[in-house]
Amino acid sequence: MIEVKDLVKTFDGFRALDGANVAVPQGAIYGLVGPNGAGKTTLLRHLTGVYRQDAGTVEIDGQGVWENPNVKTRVASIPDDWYYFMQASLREMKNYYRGFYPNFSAERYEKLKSVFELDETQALRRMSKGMQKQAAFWLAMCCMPDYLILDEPVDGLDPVMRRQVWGLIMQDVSERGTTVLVSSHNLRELEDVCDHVGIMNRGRVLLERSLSELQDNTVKIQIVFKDGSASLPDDLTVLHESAVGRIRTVIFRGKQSEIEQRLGALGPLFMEAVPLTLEEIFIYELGGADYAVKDIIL
Amino acid sequence: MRSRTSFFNRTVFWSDQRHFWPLTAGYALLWLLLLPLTRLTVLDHQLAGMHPSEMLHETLELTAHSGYWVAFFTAILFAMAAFSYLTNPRATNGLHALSARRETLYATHFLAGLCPQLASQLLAVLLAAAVLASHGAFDAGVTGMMLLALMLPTIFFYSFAVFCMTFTGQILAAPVFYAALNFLVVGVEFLLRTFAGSFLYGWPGTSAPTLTAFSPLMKLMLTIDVDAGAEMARTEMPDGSVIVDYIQNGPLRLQGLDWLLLYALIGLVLAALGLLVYRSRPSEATGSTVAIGWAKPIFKYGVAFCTALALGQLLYYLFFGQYRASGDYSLAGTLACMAAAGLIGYFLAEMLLKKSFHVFRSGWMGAAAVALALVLLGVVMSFDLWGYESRVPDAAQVRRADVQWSSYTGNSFSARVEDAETLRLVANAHRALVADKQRQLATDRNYLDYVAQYELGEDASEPNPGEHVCDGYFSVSYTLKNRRYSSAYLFASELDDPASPAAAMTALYNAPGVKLQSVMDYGVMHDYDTWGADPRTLPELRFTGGYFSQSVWSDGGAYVHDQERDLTAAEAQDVYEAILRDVAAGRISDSLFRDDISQSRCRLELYATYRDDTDYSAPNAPTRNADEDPGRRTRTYMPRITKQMTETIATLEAMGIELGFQDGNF
Repeated sequence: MIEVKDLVKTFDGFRALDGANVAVPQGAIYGLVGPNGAGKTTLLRHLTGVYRQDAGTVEIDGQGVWENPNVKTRVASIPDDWYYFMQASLREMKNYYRGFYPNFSAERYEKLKSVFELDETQALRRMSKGMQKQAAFWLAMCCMPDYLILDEPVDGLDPVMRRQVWGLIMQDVSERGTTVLVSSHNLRELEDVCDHVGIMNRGRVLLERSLSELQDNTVKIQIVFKDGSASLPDDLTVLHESAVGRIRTVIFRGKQSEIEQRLGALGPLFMEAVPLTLEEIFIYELGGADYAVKDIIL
Repeated sequence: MRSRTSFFNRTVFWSDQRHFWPLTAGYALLWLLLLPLTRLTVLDHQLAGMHPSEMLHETLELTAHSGYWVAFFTAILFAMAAFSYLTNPRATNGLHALSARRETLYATHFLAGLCPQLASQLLAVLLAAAVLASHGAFDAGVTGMMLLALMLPTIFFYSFAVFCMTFTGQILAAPVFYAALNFLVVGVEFLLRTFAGSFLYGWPGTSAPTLTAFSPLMKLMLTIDVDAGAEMARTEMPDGSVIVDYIQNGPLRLQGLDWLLLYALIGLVLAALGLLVYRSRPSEATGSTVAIGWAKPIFKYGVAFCTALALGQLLYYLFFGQYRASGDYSLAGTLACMAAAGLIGYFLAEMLLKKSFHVFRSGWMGAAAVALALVLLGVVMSFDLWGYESRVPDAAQVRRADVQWSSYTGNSFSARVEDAETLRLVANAHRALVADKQRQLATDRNYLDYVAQYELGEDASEPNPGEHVCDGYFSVSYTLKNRRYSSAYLFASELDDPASPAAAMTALYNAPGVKLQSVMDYGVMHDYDTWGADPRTLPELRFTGGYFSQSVWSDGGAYVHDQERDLTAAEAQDVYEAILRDVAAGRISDSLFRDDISQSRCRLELYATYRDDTDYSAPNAPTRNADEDPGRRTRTYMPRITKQMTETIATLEAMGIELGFQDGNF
């Protein structure tokens, strides 16, 4: 289990992480979403032992990550700016990784040749960004990690390869119980693969729930009243409201059944619950945190 | 559970070797060219007939000197290669995310840079030893010394370079820090000396640096040498003549080995300190000029201070100080230049640290503090709070004084004074100059103004017209405390006043030991150790020969021809003894002023040797000249012959040497 408590990190007076809390259950695929500058990458770098926290704890299975090779051998990561030696080929990087990951599987490496059709002897710097990403995945999967930390992992991959990669990750989770923490802006993609989501903004994790819990707790209702301007009950939490003609679309925080019951009491002409996407949840939750959502999503 | 700390990771080590092999190959090639290959070439062309000990001597000498030079330049390259990942954010994050502790990464990269250097050196020395052995000149001890001469400075300079690398996240800043820190202390010492020289009347100014131990390259240049015992070899030539040569065949000794060991030890300490710095260095500091938080203010204020001293003095010289003497300064000008330069340095450092040009608003408080501190420093210096200018040591407490008076317009002398009476005269002369400070400075200023006006083509009248003035350079060194007056004026009209500088300096000149030295040491200062020493005090002084030359002029002043001849040892000894008799009888000028001097135009050299009691193994001992006879030192005297020295003139005439004379010095 990954557990981050009250994590604080400051860069030259700027508080990049301001008491962030994250808990990733064993075997979960946890999607960390948030706008640019929210602190996602900073948080992930603490989990890979790159940064040392100013305050708080960063633990994996109850052990601190900082300067703890025992923990780090169980963690593989693919940062958004994956590093390879300037003249190195995939084969050379494989040998390099083998030196650090005792469980590195040569057998899996051979098997994955059919998935990632890359030239092992070609210099990595001569490969396209997408090919470099494939190489990073190939090596990370061969490290047989218990924890996989991914920062914008499929950025640069074509749709087919994205599906392949996610398939591999899901397979690893189901077969080996790998725990995955993934940060991404691609909310629709995360919705398909994640079972837990954390939303970050301004160095804090605003909410953290399982996907079903999150979707259960936010409801989008389209409703039409007779006079068109009936007021909604004050005790319902409205995250967002818009109207097209007499059709009002309201996003509430709360249980769908309870909200439908309360609205039904107002005698609407028409009322229907519409499924919420993760992207909508993200937009409206952060909208409550004074975040200019439209500027980053559109 | 925490893992045990490991200081080596094989993967990292061999990865570094693979990536930086061109550097290793170039370095190894350099040593192979310098040692075994040059030994082969030299042996084939030059040294084949040399004595084996001389071959060893030359090889060890080459190794000893090239060792620290090459180490100085290449160590930073290896450090930059091994720790280059600390200057690239991707690389830093990539390596620090791996399952290795910081200690492991640091120690492994450190070794990855050091081992190729040591291995290349070992290979080169062993091959050189093999080449020498093939010519019958193998010596295990010398081979060991060669290895030490190469490896010890490498350990120091490389550790120092790595230490610098741990402080910065900019690849180009590393060599700048490395070079600057290597010479920082002597550089600041020099700047402080010149700075103090602007304020303090009598300050020695830019004499040789004393803190060379803090500049390892400079220290090694001064101390590293090879010494050997020698014996005389006589080679009879076919025409019957004999060539005498000294062959050094004693045990070779690497001078300065103690310094090499000390620096290597310091290198190991720096390597350990580098580890501590590395552990505290945050990964996010990559890309910063100074990567360690606590070092940033040191860098900022250090740059400001050094810029104030260096640029401030340059500005002051350009705008105010070109025609000023030591102790004569413009306080306002100095303060303005120092503060301006200090602010330039401060904001420059701030820009480097913040990687932004917008530092003026945020940094104004620090800048104000720097300017205020520099103004205070200047004011404190101007008050001479330590009383440096007026302090004249009590003669009873001075063990020895080295004095020198050199002048283009009057008599000159130099002397090493140890007896109480002459030391009292030295103190008197010193005291008289201190008391005369204001007029000395005013006279100096007048002359400099006159020179400036003259150079500009303006009408200018010479200061002190009609006054008989002798101006010169006087320095006195009381063992450790140096005083030097770069410009001292003596006025003939004041000779009757016993407290005047002219009278005090003349009294010093007429002290018996001083007078002999003023005759004997007139020429070049050949041997600094015994320069100014009374020749009668040198142990087992023997004259070995001499040389005389003189241009002959017709009565009408036309050049006729040059006359020259060598003197035998006996003739040189005779001339020396005649000089002693003339000095004892008072047959040389009593005045520092030139009115009664009629001096020979000849060039007379007397070659002497004396027993060498120097302990060359002592710290800071001078370097022994390999050309000299072991156990003895050579000394060339260039006596000045004046018309009053009748015994000396008669002795030379007896040898067939006729002297021509002219009035005054030349």
